[in-house]
Amino acid sequence: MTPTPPLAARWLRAHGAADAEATARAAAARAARYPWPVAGLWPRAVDGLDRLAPLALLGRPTRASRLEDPALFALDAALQQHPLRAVRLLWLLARFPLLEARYAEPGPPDPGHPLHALADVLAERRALSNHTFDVVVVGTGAGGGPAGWALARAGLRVCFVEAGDLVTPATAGRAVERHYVEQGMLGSAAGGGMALVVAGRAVGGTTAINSGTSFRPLPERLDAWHREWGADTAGLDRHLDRVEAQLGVAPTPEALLDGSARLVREGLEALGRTTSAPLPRNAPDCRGAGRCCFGCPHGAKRSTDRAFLPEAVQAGATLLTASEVVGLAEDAGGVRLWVRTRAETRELRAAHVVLAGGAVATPQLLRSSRLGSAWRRAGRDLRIHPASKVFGWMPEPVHHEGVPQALGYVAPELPRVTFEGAHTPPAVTATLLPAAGERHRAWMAHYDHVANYGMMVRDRGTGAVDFVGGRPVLRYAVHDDDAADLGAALILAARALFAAGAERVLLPVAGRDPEVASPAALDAWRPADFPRSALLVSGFHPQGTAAVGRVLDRDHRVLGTRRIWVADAAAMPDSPGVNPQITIMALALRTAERLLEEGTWASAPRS
Amino acid sequence: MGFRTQELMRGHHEFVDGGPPGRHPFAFRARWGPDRLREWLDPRKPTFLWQRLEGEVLAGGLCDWTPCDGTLHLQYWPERRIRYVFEFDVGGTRYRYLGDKVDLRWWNLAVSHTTCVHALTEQRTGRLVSTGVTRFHLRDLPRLLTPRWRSGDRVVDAPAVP
Repeated sequence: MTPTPPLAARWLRAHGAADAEATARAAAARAARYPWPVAGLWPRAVDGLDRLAPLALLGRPTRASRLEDPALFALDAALQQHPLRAVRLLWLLARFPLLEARYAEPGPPDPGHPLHALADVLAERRALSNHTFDVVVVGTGAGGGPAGWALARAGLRVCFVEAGDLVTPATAGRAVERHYVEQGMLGSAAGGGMALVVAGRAVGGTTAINSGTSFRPLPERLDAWHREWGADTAGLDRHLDRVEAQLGVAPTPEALLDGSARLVREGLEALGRTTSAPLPRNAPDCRGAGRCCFGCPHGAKRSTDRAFLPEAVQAGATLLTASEVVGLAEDAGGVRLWVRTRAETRELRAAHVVLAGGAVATPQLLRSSRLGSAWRRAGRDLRIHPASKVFGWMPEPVHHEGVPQALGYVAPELPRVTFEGAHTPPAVTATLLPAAGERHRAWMAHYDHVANYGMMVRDRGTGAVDFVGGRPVLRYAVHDDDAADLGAALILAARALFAAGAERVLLPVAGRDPEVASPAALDAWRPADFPRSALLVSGFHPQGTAAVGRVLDRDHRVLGTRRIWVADAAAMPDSPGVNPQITIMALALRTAERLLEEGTWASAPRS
Repeated sequence: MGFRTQELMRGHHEFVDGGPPGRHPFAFRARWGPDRLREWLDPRKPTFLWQRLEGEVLAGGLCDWTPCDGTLHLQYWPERRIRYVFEFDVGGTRYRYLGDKVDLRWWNLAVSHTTCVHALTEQRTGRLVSTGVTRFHLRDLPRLLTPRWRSGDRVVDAPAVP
């Protein structure tokens, strides 16, 4: 049985948990499932804080678990605002599972999944004797899904290999644990800052757990890719049209804007900013459950597991789930892949392989298998979209029903910043809220009054993905100019919330009191007050780690190989300027087209 | 450079439900070995101590020396097990064998390396068909320890295999 540190139950009791002991046990059990080495570190971190923090920070020679509520809250706040990043990191780690357990919600009922109807045929195709294919597609996300779909519909024998599981409402309550890369704990603490980087590990990849925002790439970014990296970006519109049709992309209906979006639009308009607009999304049957990032409970979002994979399976494709490619080698006859599941390791053979595991998994395979002539460069040049958000305490309840990421805005003075949202459920809000102690408890107690608005920036910084013991380790420092842009954007979002009636706002910054009580007090804040060392940042859309012009040729084939291609976010040289799923899908369709033209196939492709 | 050896595991199995009652003989003859010894012995490779196997399986009440193919993985650390996974067809139904030699430690090699517990399931549905135990008999040890050495597709040393 997992040991429960005394501080865990004490902290939960102070934060109003109904059954603190049981919740603490649930938190400890959750922490025990964290990836190595975090799982082993958690009880030690909590115990260490219990023993040392009161004396070090409050001057009281007692254990934190024996402090009365006000002192415990003061300790919590002191840890949150501690000048040493390592202490803040330890505090974040210690309370993460506590917050998750404290604000957990039951999962919704299961509406079924189109792949369930194909379970029988898929089970037959998973036989060990079925090991030779025309194309193996590694990953089923924004790149792998469309690429495999196009190849299967062309008549090729296609096998998808996906490391994650199917996202269903049954798993949605534990979506971060089950369907996020490294259980949502992938991050960087390099360059004086900290950033959590979010990516999916599920059938459908990140598209199954994203917000569904579906923009076309900015034309100037495609031009820059062509100019600077030799990328072939001509004629992409045809594939973009195809993707949008397959996904049913349309602007979010007015009726589905959530409370935060309505308030922010009202606030922006009060500031004379009238160009905000509903975001285009790939959820034509959306009912506004507000859980896009944890798997749509109604199955309304057209993620690749719904928009592409069922048709690919009906066209004859095989789908191996919970199966990780651990190595591959190219030889004269094709490519051999070794695929590991919980039960066994099996070997597949294919004429061609499309790597589409995302910007973390794809460079890992390129490097561990030393594929091509540029494998040493794989994993470098990591780009992300640094993002942050501001919280507002509204006088009236905010209706959280609706699309959580629904309203977009670009401020003319901040062209690299896209304002997008998004609202999150209580357990996630609790971990993101830049507050501690009594203040945290008060904000969460008024969760139904909390509006928020966030933004992401097209980054200037670069980082890298390294691999230690087979686990990804990110090094990414937010660029100073990106931090300043985010600071200016946060101040603008805070002004909008005040203009919409907020009584106070919380800014995502450490080292300074983050709560601002009035618009006048906000005037004292400057973008420079959000240095990267103090800014609380999440990173979305990792990309660029095996990019065209660096690791791939213009057709997205790995340099120095004949049969290995890349069709995911890793292939993009840098940001497309918007949420990238549509761009990745269109590029994947074009890669599939090139592959069809080049390959020599055992199966005869249909034209 | 690689090798190919052969082992024979014999024992029994019992159907979980719906099959003939009581214990029934169960045995399989597996031929296995790496094609590239250097990769097989390299812990950085996905093929470390892993290889495909082929052979025949006898499952009393179900089939009589039917061809099977699958994999054998010597997972000494951290799993401390040797895992056999293979599949075979009987009358259009595909069955999946998953067997483990478990708790491999230096002081119990004679038992742990010779005893394999298994579960037999239907490949398509995952339904459990039977469970059982097979053992490697030490009188078969000479055959196991006299592999055929191979260089590419060519057998370079072919001891007489009875």
